[in-house]
Amino acid sequence: MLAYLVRRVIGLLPILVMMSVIVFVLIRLVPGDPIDVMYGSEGMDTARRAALSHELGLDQSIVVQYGRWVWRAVHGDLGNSYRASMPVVSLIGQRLPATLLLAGTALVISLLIAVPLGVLAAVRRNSWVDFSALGFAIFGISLPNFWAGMVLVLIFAVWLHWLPAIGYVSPARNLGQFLADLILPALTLGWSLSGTTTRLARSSMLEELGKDYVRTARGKGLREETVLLVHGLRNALIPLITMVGLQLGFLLGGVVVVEAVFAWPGIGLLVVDSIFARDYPVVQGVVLVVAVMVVLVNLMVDILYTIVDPRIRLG
Amino acid sequence: MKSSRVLILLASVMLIGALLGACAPAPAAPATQPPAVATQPATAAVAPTGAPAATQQPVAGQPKMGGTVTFGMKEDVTSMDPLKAIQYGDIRLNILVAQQLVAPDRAGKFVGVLAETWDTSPDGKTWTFHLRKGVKFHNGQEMSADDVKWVFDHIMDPKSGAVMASTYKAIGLTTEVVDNYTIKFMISSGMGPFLSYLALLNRSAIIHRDSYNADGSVSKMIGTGPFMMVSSKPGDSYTLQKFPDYWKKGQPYLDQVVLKVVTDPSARLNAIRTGDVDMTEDLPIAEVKNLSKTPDPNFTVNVYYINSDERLVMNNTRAPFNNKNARLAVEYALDRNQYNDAIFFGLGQVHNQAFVPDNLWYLDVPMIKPDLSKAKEYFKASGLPEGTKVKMLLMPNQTDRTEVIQAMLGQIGFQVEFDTVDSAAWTNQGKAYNFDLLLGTMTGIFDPDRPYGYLQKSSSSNWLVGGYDTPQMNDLLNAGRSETDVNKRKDIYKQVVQLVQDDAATMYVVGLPWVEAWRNTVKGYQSGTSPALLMMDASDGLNVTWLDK
Repeated sequence: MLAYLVRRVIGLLPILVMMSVIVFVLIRLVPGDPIDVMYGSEGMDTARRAALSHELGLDQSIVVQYGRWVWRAVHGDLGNSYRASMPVVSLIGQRLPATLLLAGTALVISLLIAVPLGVLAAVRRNSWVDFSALGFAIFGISLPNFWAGMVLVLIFAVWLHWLPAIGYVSPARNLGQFLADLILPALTLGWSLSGTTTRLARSSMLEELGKDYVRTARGKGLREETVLLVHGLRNALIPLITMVGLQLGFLLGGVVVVEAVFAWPGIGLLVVDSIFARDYPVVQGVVLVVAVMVVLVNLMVDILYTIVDPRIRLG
Repeated sequence: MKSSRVLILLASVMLIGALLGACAPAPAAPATQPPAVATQPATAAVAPTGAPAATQQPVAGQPKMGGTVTFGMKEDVTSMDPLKAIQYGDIRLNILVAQQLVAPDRAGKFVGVLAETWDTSPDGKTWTFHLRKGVKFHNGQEMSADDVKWVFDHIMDPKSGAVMASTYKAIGLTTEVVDNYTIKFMISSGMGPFLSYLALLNRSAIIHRDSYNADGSVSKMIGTGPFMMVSSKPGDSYTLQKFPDYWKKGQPYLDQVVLKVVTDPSARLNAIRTGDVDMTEDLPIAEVKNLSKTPDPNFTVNVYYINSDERLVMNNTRAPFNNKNARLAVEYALDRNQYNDAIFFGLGQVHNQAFVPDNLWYLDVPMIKPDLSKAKEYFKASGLPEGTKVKMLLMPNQTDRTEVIQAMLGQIGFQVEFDTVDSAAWTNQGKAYNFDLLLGTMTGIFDPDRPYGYLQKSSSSNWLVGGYDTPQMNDLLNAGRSETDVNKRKDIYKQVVQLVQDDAATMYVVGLPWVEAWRNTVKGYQSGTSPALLMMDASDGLNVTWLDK
């Protein structure tokens, strides 16, 4: 297992190199550069533009720029944001906790909805429970995030005044306010994620319930709850774990729309704003950090498989 | 039976969802939309003809000291360096923290802010400013002439990247300290608009040199404004607290201001409804229309007008719009009133120049009325074939203009193809003249040199008026820049506006409506003559705002 983990971590390196090259090149292929954004319509004479370009290192060849950036990155320095005039590492450090907290909570909510609903739908196949669960799942998958968010804000913030419409405060600063701010965006995301997970839980559970070992367990007189939850569900979890891993990877990249609707200062808005602003160091830094996190999440998923299913061995 | 019950249940769930969705505010609206309950008469940046009437009057009663106002702003700050700031988010922050030497007041007259008085030589080439004494920076140091000189030397330093550098270089600006509170500015040209250059808060702000880090960046502005920076979380919020040694004694009343970044217009509307923000701006126009019929008892929405414009820019440097008849065809085809109704729900100010009607620089040049038959005649005279394709460059917040533009230009023979890009690509392609049409906007206009000065090749912003350049226009603009007599300048710029129209150089379509909203617990605030939270001349704004709670 240890050897496997070491191999996976080492395998991270070529992925990071490839990601960094792709992002480095792609962002520079897009028309417009940081100076166009900084000065926009105001214009700047050629001499001053050249001076600023030199100061930002933009007049170097792309290979030189990449080399300089990599050299600093391996020393833990991802450069400075052109816009915020602060280290990219600090900027990511400011925004990442909000994304992690939102992503984690949304996933938990989605699982709390999807797993019981999926299991019930499988057990009560072709009943009103099954059809309702399927309807709920389709609704959740089809629902645009911003619409769901707006509806929840309308009901719970504007009409009922139970929760705030926007905002984020760090849990260390004010836990109660943080939780109040978290509920609506996490519900919005969790609701939309639960659609896919519900369907997968249902189909995975149905497959397991049709297998011989389940018939054997019933034949041996085990209680139905034991058959379903201890035997059936455990085996049905494998594809669910895969799904959750994929969803977590997606969420870690930030969910721009939900962040915009709730003014939630996460990574998603940071990277989108930075792309529009051609804030190259921030875009490069965020993509690198997110790539690392996604690979680590996939590694955790692999480890989780071995816990859930002892037949699976790593290495 | 079972399946019918299920179908009814599912249908009910879908119906409820659809109804709730219909009630939800529209998620995203174009940036320059003005929703408002109260429509203020035009307030001018420069209007000695009379002080504009405001519908909002300061509330009677003693201001209460203390409290925190949270303002939901539509854009993030893009630069902490006020000398490089050009976006609205930058202005909203800078204007609370840093100040300039002079600024226009509500009547449009230039008054002293950090300068108390000034003298001008007869030829307008030497300006001597007498600084206000006892003005402190946020680091406790008193402002002196040396500090002012440092700022302008820094602007002129090629490494600083300051926005005004090109302008000051063009007019040959130099500075000389006379004594601790007196500084001379010497220029070789640009006497007419010189004060307006100094008044541009976000480019000529007097900040302390210690604001700059060793690498030339600014992490925290040290200015002289009523509020000082406490913390900044880019993309999230900026916290400012009261500056106890502010030179206007007794101000500000508030302890703290938090500028919260809320980029989605519907989110801003929800936030002002719930009180999660105390003030905000730029609400979805559709909702503002609803609010004008059914006002919310908890907050006020105000639409106001400042010198600003949205203009249709035709690329004069290449076919088809290097052809004057083609441009005139567009000028007669575009119905400004219909455009205003379609895009701004009638709330914009239709115009043919960039100044509001009661402004000194609003000039009596009759506006061309739309005339479809004339437009078609000009199109025919241009020799262009029916269905001539033209490319219009748009930013994402302008895509709602496509239908009305296609409809209006389509009826005379143009076929408009739209290319939507983000603002950086828009600037990049615009500067390369890789477009036939685009929409330009401008604010921060106190002097005619700023909008009309673009109409010559020597301006680095000439692309924003389609690269128009003629000897006649050059002569007029150079004359206007050199003239110090206001009436003579008015005559010159009247000819400029007339020529713009006669040549269809570019087309000023509508003055933008600006919107601010505030909870009814916010007292003393009046929308200003710029998109700002503090009057440019430091007279009123957030520094005289207080909370009644």
